[in-house]
Amino acid sequence: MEPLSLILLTTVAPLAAFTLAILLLMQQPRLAQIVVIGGGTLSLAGAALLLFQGPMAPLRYLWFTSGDMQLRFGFLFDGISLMFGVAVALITLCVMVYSLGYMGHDPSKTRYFAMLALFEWAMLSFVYAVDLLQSFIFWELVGLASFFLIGFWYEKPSATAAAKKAFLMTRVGDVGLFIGVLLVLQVAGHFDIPGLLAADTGLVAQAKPAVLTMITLLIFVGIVGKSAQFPLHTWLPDAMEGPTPVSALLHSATMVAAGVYLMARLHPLFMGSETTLGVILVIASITALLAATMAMVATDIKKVLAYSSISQLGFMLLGLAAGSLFAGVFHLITHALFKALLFLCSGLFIHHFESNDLAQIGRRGGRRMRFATAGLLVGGAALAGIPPLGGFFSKEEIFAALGQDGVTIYSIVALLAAFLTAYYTFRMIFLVTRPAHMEQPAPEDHAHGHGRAEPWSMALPVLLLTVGAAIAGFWGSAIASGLGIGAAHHSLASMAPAVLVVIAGVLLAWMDFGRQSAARVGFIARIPALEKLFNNGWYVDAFYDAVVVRTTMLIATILHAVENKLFDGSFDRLGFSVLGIGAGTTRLQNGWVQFYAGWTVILIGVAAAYIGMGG
Amino acid sequence: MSDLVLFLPETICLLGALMLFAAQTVGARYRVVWVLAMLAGALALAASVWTWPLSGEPFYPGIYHVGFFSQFVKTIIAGGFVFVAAISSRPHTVREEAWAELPMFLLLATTGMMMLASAMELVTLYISMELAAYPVYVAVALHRSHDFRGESAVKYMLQGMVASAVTLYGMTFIFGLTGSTYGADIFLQLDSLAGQPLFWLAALLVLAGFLFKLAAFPFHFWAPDTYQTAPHEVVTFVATASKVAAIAVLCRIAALVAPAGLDAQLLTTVLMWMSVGAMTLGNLAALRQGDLKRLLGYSAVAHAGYVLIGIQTLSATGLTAALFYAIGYAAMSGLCFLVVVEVGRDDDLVPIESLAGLHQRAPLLAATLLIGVFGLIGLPPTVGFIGKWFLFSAAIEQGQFVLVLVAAVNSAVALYYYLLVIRQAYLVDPVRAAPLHTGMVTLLVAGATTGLVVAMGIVPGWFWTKSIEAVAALM
Repeated sequence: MEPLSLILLTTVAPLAAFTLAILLLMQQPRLAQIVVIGGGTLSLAGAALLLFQGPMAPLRYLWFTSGDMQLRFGFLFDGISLMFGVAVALITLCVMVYSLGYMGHDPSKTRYFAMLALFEWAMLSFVYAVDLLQSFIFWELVGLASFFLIGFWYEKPSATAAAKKAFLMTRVGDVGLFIGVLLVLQVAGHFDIPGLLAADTGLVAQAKPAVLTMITLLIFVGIVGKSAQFPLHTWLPDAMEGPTPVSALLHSATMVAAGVYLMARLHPLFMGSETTLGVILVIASITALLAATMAMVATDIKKVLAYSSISQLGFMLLGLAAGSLFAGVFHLITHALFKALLFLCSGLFIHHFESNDLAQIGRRGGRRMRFATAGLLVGGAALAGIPPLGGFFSKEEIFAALGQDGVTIYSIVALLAAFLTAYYTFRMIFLVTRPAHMEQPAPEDHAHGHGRAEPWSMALPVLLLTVGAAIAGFWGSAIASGLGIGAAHHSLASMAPAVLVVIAGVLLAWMDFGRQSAARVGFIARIPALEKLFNNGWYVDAFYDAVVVRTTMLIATILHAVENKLFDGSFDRLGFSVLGIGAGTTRLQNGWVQFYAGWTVILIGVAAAYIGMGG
Repeated sequence: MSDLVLFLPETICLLGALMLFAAQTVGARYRVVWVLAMLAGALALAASVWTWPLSGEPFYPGIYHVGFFSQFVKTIIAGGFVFVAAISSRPHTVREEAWAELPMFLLLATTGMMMLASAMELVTLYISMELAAYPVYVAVALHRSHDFRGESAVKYMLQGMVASAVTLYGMTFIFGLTGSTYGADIFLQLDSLAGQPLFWLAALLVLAGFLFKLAAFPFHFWAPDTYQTAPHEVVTFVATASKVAAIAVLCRIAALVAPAGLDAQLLTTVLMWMSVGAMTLGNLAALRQGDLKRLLGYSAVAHAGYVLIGIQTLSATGLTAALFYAIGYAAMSGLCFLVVVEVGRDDDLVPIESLAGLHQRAPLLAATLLIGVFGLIGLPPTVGFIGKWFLFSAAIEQGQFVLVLVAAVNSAVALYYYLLVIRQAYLVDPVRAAPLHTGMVTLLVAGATTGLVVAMGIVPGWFWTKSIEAVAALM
C-alpha cells in the first residue's frame, strides 16, 4: 500500500476517533469505547504495515511560506520512527482495551477514552514528524493530552494539582526546547530533520561548535522536562494520581518516552558536541541513581514504578550519550513493554484490593491473584535485568556503550543503579508475594462486583505484554538492523559485572524481604538519615517549594499589596477629590491616579536620560 | 469624487453613528438600534474588504493614505466592532436608559481607529487618536452602577489624557526639528535626524499615546483598573479593536524608521525594555488576581509585551508578526471577554469563582473559554502558538536571544494563572446550578471566532501572506 494512506491510517484514525467521541458520543459511552478502540486498532495496523514495508523516503508537504522560508509538515519513515510507532500504537491499544475493565464503572469514561485517542494521535504524529517545528507542536500536544489524563479524576484535588505540576514543569523544559528550535532555524534556515542530520550539509557541519553545543543543550533542557530527569523529575511520581492505565501509557511509550525519542531522533546532532554529551552523562547518571534510591523506600506500588521509570529513562539517556543509538532505542522499547506490563499488573492489584500499599496488597493475598503475580514477576525480572528477559539485553548494551573507554565513573554509577534496581524491584515482588503473614480473604472482598477473576479485557493486554516483555530481549539484532547498525556481540565475560550486581541486588532483597525470617525492613532503615533523605525525594520538591514557588509568589504578593494597600490605603487623602469630581460619592480616591501618571513620567524621564546619554 | 470611495468604511461608520444618534433621539427601541448598529458594522466590514485593492489619497496629498495596510487593519477593526456589537444584544452592565448610546459611541470610536490606520500627518494622527479615545471614555461612564461609572471613567480618561498630552508634546518636538508635520517630509529628513538624540526622544514621546492604548509598560496602569470596573461590553471593545488600532499605528511609525537603514538602536533598546517590563510585570501581577477581568487586564499588559517584541525589531518580519498577532490576540481575548459578558451578566465584578462549573452550566461557553485561554497560553493548534512563534523568530533573526528567553520563561509562568481560570470552568462544581442560556447570535459569534483562532493556528498561510502584503504596503 501507499505509504501516504498507511500513515494517514496510523495518525488520523485516533484523531477521528477523538473527534467523534468528543463531539457526538458523549451520551453513548459504549459506542465511544468501540470507536476509540477501533481507531487504535486501525492505527496499530497502519503502523505495523509501515514497519513491514521498511524504511521509505519521507513525505513532505508545504504548510505555509513565511518570507523565503517554507514551513513543511510530513512524515519520516526510518528505523527509529517505524519501530517506535508500532510500540506506541501497540501499548496504547493494550491500555485502551485494559481500560474497558478498569474504567468500566467510571461515569465519564467517554471523556477518558476520547483523551486516550487524543494522546495517541499527538504521540504518533510526534514520532513520525519530519519537521522539527512539527515535532515541537505535537510535543506540546502530548503534554496537553497528558495534562487532561493525569487530572482526569478532577474531583480529587491531588489529581488536579499533579496535572498542573506535570504541565508546568514540562513547560519549563519546553522553554529551552523552544529556543533551541528557534536557534536551529537561525543557523540552518530550515527544519527538515533529515536535512539537519545530513553528515555533510547538516547542522553539525554548518554550526560553529559553540552554537551546536548551545542548541543541543537547549534541546536537552526540553528532554529533561519531558523525560523527568533531575532536577525536573518531581512531576512524574505525582502524575500517578491519574488512573493506573494512564500511568502505564505515560511511563512507557508516550510522554516521558518523547524526550528520549527526541534525543534518539537528533542523535547525530548530540554526537557533534562533546560538552553536551558530558552534561547529559552527568544528569542522566544522577537521575538514574537518585530515582533508584527513592524507589528503595517507597511503599506505594505505583510510586516504586514511577521512580523506576525516572531511573530507567536515565539509563536510556546514558546509553545515547555514551554514543550508542542502538542501546538507547533498544532500552526504550524493552522498557516500554515491561513498564506498561508492570503498571497494568499493579492496576489489577489496586483494582482488586483498592489499595496502593505494597505491604497491604501482600497481606491481603496479592499472590493469590496468579495472573497479576505472573505478570509482576516477568515484568519485574525484566526491569531488574535478569537474563534472558528484555531488560537484561538492553541494559547490557548500555553498559557496553559506557564501558567503551574503560571503567569510568559513569559505568560505576550505572552498575550501582542497576544493583539498586534489582534490589527495589525484588523488594516490591517479595512484599507482594511473600508477606510475613496473610489475612484470610474477607468475605466483603467479593462484594465489590469484581471478583477474583480478572475480566478478559484486563487479562488479555496483560498476557500480551507479558509475552512481549519476555521475548523482547531477543529482538536486539532486529532492532539494530532496523536502525542500520550491526549488533555487536558481547562476550560472556563482559556481561559478568552486570549479572553479578543483579544477583547481589536480588539476594539482598531476599535477605531483607523474601526469606521466612526476614525483618521486612530495608537495610537502609539502619541509617535513618539516609532513609529520611530518600523518603523525601532528596528534598528537591521541598527546595522548589521553598525557593522557586515562594519567590515567585512573594513577588506577586508584593505587586498585589502595592496596588491594594499603597494605592488604596495610605494615599487616600491625596486622591483626586481635590478636583471635585464626584468627591465623596465615588471611590475615586482609591486608584490614586497621580501615582500612575507620576510613574509614567518618571519612566519616560529615565528613557529620555538614556537616549540623551546614548546620543 | 471617486477618491471619496476610499473613505467609504469611515463614512459608513460615521453615518452609522449619526443614524444611531437619530434613532435614540426619536426613542427607538434598543432592538432596533442594535440591528442598525450590526448593519452599520457589517457594511463597514464589507466596505473595508471591498477597498482592499484600492490605494490613494482621498483628501489633500500627504495627510491620509489608503492602501492595503490601512484597509486590512480597518477590516480587523470593523470585525472587532461587529464582534462587540453582536454580543451586546443586551448590554447588562450598561444602565438601561443608555443602552442605545453604547453602539453609537463605540461606532464613533471605530471611526477614529480606522482613521488612525490611515493618518500620515501628525495633526491628523492626533485628532484620530482623540476621536478613537473620547467615545470610549464616555462609554465607560455608561456603567449601570453608580459606584463604578464615575471612578473608572475618570481614571481611564485622566490617564489617557496624560498619555495623549505626551504624544502631542513629542509631536511639537518633531515639528520643531523638521518644520513639518507630514510623515513624508519627516521621512526625507531622517538621515540628518537620526544623529540627534532629541529626535529619538520625540519619537518615543509620540509613541507614548499608542503604547498607552496598548497598555504597554510603563503606560499600563490604567488597564487592570479599567478592565475590572468598566462595563463588560466596553472592556471587550477596549481589549480587541482598540488594541489592533494601537498596534497598527505602532507598526506604521516603526515602518517609517525601519527601512532607512538607520541606527535606531536607541529606540529599539527602549522598546525592548518596555517589552520586558510589560511581560514580566503583567504575568507576575496576574498570578495573585482573584478578579477575572483584572486578571485579563494584566494578561493584556503581558501580551502588549509580546507584541512589542515584534515591533522593536523594526524589521519587516517583526512588524508582520506583530500585525498577525494583533489579529489573533483580538480574537483570543475577544473569546475570553465574550464569556465574561455572559457569565457576569448580573454582576458588576466578575471574580474567577463565578466561572465555577461553567462546563455544566454552559458547555459551549466553557469550550469557548478553553480555546481562548489556550490561545493566550500559546498552545498549538491555536493562533497563540504560531503567533508567538512568529514574534519570537523575528527577534531571533535580530540575534535577540535573551529577549526571547525572557519571553519564553514568561509564557511558562503565565501558564499558572491561565490554568486557574480553566480549573474553575472545568474542574470545580458550580455554585449556581442554573444553566446559563446564551443567545443564538452570541453563540454564532463565539463559534466563528473560535474557528478563526484555530484556523489561524492550523493554516496560518493565508493570514500570514496578507500580513506580509500589508506590511509591505507600509514599508
